[in-house]
Amino acid sequence: MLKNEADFDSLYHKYEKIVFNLCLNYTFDFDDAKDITQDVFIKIYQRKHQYLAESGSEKNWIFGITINHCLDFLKAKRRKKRFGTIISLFYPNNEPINEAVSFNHPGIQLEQKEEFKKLLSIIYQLPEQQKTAVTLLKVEGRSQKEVAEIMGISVKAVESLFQRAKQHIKKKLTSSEGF
Amino acid sequence: MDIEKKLERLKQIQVVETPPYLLQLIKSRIQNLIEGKAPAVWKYAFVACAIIVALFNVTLLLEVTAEHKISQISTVVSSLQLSDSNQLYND
Repeated sequence: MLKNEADFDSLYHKYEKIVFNLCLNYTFDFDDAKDITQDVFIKIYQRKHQYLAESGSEKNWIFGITINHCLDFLKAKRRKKRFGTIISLFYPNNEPINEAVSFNHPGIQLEQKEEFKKLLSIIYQLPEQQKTAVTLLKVEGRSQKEVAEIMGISVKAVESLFQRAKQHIKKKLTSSEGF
Repeated sequence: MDIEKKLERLKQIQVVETPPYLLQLIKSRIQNLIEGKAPAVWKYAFVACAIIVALFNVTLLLEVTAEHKISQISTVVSSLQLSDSNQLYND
């Protein structure tokens, strides 16, 4: 894999959309997705020797790197926000820290934006594995088998994660709609 | 409220085109990484220098400690007006 620059170019063109859209579906922010996509391809370039064709498909390997990068990015962002909140306690004159999810996803039509924003904000706050299962199954439209291979777990475990995520989403939606 | 239906609607999110300049940005970052990398010989030389400096410091410290002990003993000897000769009881 990646013997020269042409190899890297062809790999980039093969996976750019998949990686970029997966990043978008995790962060819901165009600029963040751009940054993570860059980091992902740099990591692919650096780890090109670690990839073994026998250990699984190239696509799943790239999916794994992308998902881990997105989760790390979101963790760092949350840490930064938490730190910002603490700072604002000591310096009340500073601008208030925006705790809401930044929502700048060009793939969502304007008329669907409000509807999706609510649902995606809940998905954004799910535990990591549940979020990955829902994103891959419902936003990316992957099959349970594919998701199981990407996450390195059984199909049953994917189904269980999805069911738990669904209950969580239902609970949150019900409480927010006041039923 | 059917959650399954709501989640199914998320499939309507459209695929977004990657910005065309992204590949160039990635390539320049990779180039910077390659240029910023020190050659292996330099790394080994740096490690060897660090080891030599550390060893020199340890040796110096041990020497200073030994000298300090000797000077402490001689201070006690002189303050009590003791003879430092081994033949104290032969006189």
